[in-house]
Amino acid sequence: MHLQRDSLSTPSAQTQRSGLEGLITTSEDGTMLHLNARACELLALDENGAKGKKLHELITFYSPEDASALSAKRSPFQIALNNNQVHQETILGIAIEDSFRWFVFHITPFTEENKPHLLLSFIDVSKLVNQNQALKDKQHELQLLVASLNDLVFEVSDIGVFKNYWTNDPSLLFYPPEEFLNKSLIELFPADLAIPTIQLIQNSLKLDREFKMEFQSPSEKHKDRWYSLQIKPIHRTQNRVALVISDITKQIESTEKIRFNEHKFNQAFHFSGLGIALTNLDGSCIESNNTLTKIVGYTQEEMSKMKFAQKTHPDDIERDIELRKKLIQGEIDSFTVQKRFRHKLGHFVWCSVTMAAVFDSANTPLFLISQIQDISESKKNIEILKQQKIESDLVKIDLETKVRQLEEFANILAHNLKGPLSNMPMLIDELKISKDEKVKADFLDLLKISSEQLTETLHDLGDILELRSNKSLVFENCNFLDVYLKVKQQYIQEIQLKNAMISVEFNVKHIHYPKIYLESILSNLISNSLRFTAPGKAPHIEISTSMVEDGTLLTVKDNGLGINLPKYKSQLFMFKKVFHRGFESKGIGLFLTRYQVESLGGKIDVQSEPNEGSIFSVKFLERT
Amino acid sequence: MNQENKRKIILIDDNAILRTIFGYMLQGFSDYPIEFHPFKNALDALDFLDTHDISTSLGQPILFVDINMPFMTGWELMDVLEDKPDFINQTKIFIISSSTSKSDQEQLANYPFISDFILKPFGKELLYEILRQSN
Repeated sequence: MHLQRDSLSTPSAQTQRSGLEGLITTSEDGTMLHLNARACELLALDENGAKGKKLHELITFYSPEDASALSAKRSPFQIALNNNQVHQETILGIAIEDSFRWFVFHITPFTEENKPHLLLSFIDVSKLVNQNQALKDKQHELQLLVASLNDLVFEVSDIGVFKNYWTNDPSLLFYPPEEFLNKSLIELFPADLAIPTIQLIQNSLKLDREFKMEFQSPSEKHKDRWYSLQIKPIHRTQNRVALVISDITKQIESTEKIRFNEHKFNQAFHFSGLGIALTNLDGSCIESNNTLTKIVGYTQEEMSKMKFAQKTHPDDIERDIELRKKLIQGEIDSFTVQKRFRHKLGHFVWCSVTMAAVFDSANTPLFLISQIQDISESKKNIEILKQQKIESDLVKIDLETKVRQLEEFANILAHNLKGPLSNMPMLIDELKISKDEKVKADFLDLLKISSEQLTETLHDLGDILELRSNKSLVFENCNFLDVYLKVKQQYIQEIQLKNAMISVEFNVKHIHYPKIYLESILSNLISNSLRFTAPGKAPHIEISTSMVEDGTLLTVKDNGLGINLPKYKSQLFMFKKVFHRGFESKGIGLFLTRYQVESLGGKIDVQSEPNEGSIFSVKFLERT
Repeated sequence: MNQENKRKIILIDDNAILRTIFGYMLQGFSDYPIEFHPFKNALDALDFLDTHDISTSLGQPILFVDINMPFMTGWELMDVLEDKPDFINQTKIFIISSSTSKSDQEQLANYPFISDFILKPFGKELLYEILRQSN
């Protein structure tokens, strides 16, 4: 910006010259002697008002470096005067109406009438200065920008030669700047990195678009570091690109971690032994795995079109919906239930289902995770076990009954056989020594009676023992009414004699049971009712059958003597027990009846009050 | 006090033959006079005891009780007598039974006032011995 001018022309003539240049001459103390029209225009001075005044008193000049006001002493004019030398191209600013205007001053000292004077010629360079300033600002901003990035930025030529670089942290550079500037990628880096990079540079220039690649550090020392390389054509140049290199190790690591976690989740999801489904909050299926397909029969695609309620047993839906609601509202973290899914083929599959909700960081529920385990097999096994337990319980009852019967047999042996038997040696002893013929005859009679009693007891026991070998029993379909009518025939005489009334109500009409047992049971109960009648009351016997929880119940109710149960119940169904004084009774009927009932798994029970009558009830265990 | 100077022997057994033999056995006993009261069940015996004073100056009355009887077993009778301390203090009580079952033997321990357990069949020598010892 060096202005050529004729320094030899006279000051007055010079100052009078018009054009772009403002011209002013001043005396030693800064008093303006001449100024041309352009100078007045540029400095906004009135030619007449300014002449004779001191320049620095009218105008404050500012430094271009920091826009500070310059005092008269520090002004370049004074410096030029003092040094008496040409001061070239000084830029000074003046403030005009809130804005700076910038001028290049050419200061030339000269002597007139032996006094030092100054010729100031200047032109307006505000535009240039402002542009320069803007440029500087931009550069500053760019530096700040570069400083704010952790990236390395290089300017690289079309053949891969490094031309320039910007970085916030020079230690990030692969080489010291002097070692890589003006050198080619090929010289600096291994071929497997350099060649693809140069290809990308050329593609980027040819296609005028950005390319990107990722690479692992070429240096052995930093093998674990990853970088991203961005190549952008620099506009308005033919053969330069910007190469931006960023350290992406952390991103790569976290991406790898995410990828690994995703992989883990996918493995867990798809190869789980449990059926897994992700469902929307409305119960529609987002994704499911193969195991679930195996459990419910629907493919993943079919499932994605259905809601869970469609696959759930109607009885289980309501509870499902309630629990889901609690999950979504965050009332519970998870739940596990046993429910039935409808298989594609129509049948139901028992499953154990555990469900949990997934929330985002704002605690909004996103979706539900269900884990489904097919438990139909174990359900089935449990059922089988239950069945087996029932069976073994029955066997247990059967065995307990048999053990009890054996104990009773031991008792029968003690009381009913040993008793009469023990009389016989005593009688024989007496017979041996007695000399009294009368006594001998009596004792022989007693011996005979004892032997008869023994025979009778053995006979009764034989009946009972026969019951125990129930192999010969024939189960057949017995009609209660037919059996009753047959039994009634046996007692027709007693019924007429006692004016007894018998009413029957067979709600259960048939039973699968040995007919001879049924006849015997009914016969014994009717016979008891007819025998132990209350004096002065016409006997009334009600016989009925009904269906109860696990079998048929036969009841025989009478209005007879009744039994003092607290006293006799324990012995009621025992062998040879009699409870009513003055009746012809062997005490074997109820014992037999009980045997007949219990040996086939049934139960006999009694309710009674003395003088109120008795109700005997027989529960049959029907064997199917 | 009963004025008849005969010792009271009471037998409670539902077996008629045993009662008869027992009676014959007692007839052969000549150490002291005896009054024999056989009962076929315990209820009848209790009725009798309630209405008769069986104490004599000749020696304590003796009760022979079978276990297995209708209406009231020997053990049930013991339960009733247990509440009559005056009676059991002045009466000798023997159980006579053919039972060798453990449960009956265990029952015996519940009634310390019972003198002994006599297993059927027994001979008259044993009976006489008891009659002499209990004098």
